[in-house]
Amino acid sequence: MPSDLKDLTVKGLWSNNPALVQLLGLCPLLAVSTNVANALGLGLATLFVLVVSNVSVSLVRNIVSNAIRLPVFVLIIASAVTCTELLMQAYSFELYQVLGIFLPLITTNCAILGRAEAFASKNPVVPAAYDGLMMGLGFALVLVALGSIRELLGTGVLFADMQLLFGTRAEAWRCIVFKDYEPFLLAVLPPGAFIFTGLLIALKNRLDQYFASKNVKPTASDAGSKRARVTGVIR
Amino acid sequence: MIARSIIKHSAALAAFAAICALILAFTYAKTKTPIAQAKAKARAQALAEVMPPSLYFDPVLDESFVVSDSNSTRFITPGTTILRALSNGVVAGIIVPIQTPEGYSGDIELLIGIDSSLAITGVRVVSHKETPGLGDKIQRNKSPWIDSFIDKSLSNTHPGAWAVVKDGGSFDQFTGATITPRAVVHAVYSTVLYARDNYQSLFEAPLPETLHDISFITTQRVNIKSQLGYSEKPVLGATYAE
Repeated sequence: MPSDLKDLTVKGLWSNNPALVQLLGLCPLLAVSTNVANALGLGLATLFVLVVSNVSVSLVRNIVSNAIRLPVFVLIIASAVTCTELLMQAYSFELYQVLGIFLPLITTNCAILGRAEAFASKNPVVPAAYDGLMMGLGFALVLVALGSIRELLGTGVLFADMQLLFGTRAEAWRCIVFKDYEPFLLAVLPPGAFIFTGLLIALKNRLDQYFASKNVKPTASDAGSKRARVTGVIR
Repeated sequence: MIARSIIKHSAALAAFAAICALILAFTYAKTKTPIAQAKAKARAQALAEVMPPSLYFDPVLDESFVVSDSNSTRFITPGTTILRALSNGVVAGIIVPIQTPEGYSGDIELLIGIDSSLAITGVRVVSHKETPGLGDKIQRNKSPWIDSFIDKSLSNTHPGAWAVVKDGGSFDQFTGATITPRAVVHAVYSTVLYARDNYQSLFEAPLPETLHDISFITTQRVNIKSQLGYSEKPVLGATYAE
């Protein structure tokens, strides 16, 4: 694997993770992560839109002048989302009904416009597609992690309703982890989403500290992003 | 100079908009039929759950009964189509789509099946915004609670029993959620009363010549020939079809 692709992998999945470090796309992240099936569904939809929009933006990056850059990007993203919505409605109707309003909201997921602006508009198609894939995977992984925690603590069950994504055979995947579990409502309600997102960020930072103390890194340049709302240095 | 750049940029933007519109139109045209099928299938499944197809012989549901302003209620809005299941030309049961604003958050939309003896054949929630983990036990895939309505009628359940246990009725409430089941019980009860009050026009009025054909014959018992579908209004919030 060429080193720049490896770099993109690390950035997308860990060091620049859209959900845990850049804190982008929090609205769908917090709203949909009530169980694994919903989280995975929205994660995959976001991943798909991110790759499509990154590729399209990268393809037109030399044609589009600076002045109309943003409207064109928004247009591309909105079209990709609408296509995804139509396709999901046609071939996975139950899931479409569950994700409901959150599909159109992918348009407003800043992670997607952010990647179009920060990466795809400056790079060739292949790295842009790969960046979209890795950023999308990073986002989907956090969604699924949050979904599992909330589903497990909230209901004592894991992988319920997976048939919405994988057909009837997935009904058997539902596993009852705790028997006679008294539901812990806070985990399913919105405050639980905030609390567990915070804990995940804390865990990530703690792991970073641990790794940093094990092998002394080259001094981190502070010339990263100047945005106020980040939980790490975006490089 | 400025004018020229404005024109240039506008033209470029318009070109992009046109391309996107073309792509969207193409996707829409390609997915139109599968979406209509998926919607019809979901609807037919919901209909089959509130009114078992074994109850009626003719594979058709009559859709000619539209609720007018004069006979609408708080739960049954004017313009609602009440479906009538037929057996040899006689109405064997009706399926009433209703919505109640009495839930914990937002409207709860229900489908209620009632047979010609005014006994309930099934109730399903079409959409709701109740609290996940508490109020959402009204969904059949979360809890069998909604099946406690089956076979209930005005003759075997006295008026006081059409309430949750907490209010002295015969329907269980959920731990931590009483408002949601209370709203559902009240809405179902009022629908049964509505069916009794409008019995003549619902069950005994002459049927129209032409009927829409819904056949429950394939493996899924679902084979909709007419283009059915829910109303086109956008659904806000999570929606569940069971």
